Amino acid sequence: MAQSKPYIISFSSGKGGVGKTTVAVNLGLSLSQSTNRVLLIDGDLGLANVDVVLGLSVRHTIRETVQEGRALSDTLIRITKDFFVLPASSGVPEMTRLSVQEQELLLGALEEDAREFDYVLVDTAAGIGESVLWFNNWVGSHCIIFSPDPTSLTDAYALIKVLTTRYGKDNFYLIVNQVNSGREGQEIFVNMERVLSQFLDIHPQYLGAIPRDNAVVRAIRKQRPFLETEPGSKAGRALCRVCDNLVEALRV
Amino acid sequence: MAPRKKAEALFEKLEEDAVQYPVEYIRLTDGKDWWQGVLCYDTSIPDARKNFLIATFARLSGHETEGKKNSLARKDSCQVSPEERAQLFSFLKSGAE
Repeated sequence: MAQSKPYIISFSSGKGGVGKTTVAVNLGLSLSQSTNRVLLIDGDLGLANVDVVLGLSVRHTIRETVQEGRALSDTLIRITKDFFVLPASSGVPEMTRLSVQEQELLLGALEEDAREFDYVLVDTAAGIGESVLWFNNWVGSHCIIFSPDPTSLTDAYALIKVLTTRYGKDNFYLIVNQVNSGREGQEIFVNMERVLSQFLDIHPQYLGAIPRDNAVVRAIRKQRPFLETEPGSKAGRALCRVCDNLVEALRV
Repeated sequence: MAPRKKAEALFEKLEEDAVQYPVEYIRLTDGKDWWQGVLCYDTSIPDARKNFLIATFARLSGHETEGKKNSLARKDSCQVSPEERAQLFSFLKSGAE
């Protein structure tokens, strides 16, 4: 069933270090290049990373909305004409354990601001902690990013199992990152899909694979999106295909 | 009272009663099974704390929490089983051969 705008999508992984934030940032940029208004929310409320990946100097964060009532719109950072980021705080442990009231306040404010955008991406923390679960409960679609590493496969599967079993979620899109080839990504997806289908009766959609590429490493060191620094790289081209597939999957 | 409000009210009461045992929880759902997720804890939770929460939850919700039809069983049901792991890794093993 086609969803309506704004499309609100989480980016989660289970395991950390699989490139979730890098993919989310570059996908956000890619979506905005097609004249979509895109908001990327840093959902890692206690250990933010989006600002680091983008080399931003952040003055205000989501923390001030939750703790001081500051308007989210005053915290937004404009990256390009149509790409905005809502940064979170780093080194603030209390932000990882918001009360139900604080969650409601934050999600209410986010819902208000989301109306101004075509796509709202939520880059969640790694793991299956509270904020990962309630952010995922809020959104309608879930991008799960994982690598060929067995620990990453297990953690991604465990996250999907929790979201399915506890929250009745079934709208999953899978991205395999850091693969050696497109074929490897496809085979890993097919295997994951088979296990999800067999044990959870879940049928995720495949958005594609992004290869290991030094262009990504170089961009991370420059604190810039690889889609901006080396758009013609293997990773850049793969990311654009993933973006096209995501747009199509959400539209259909 | 709407299911979600009822669940939230229950949880607030649960928190009040659990002063010395901070309750871990996750955002409540709007699903039919409105109380799912009210109690959320790791399987490594100490027995004393788990027993306290089970008793308090049963008293406040009216739901029996023994046996398989409770939120603890639901929590355990999210555990990735050895069979699931074996299937997940089967591709890697066949690829390595």
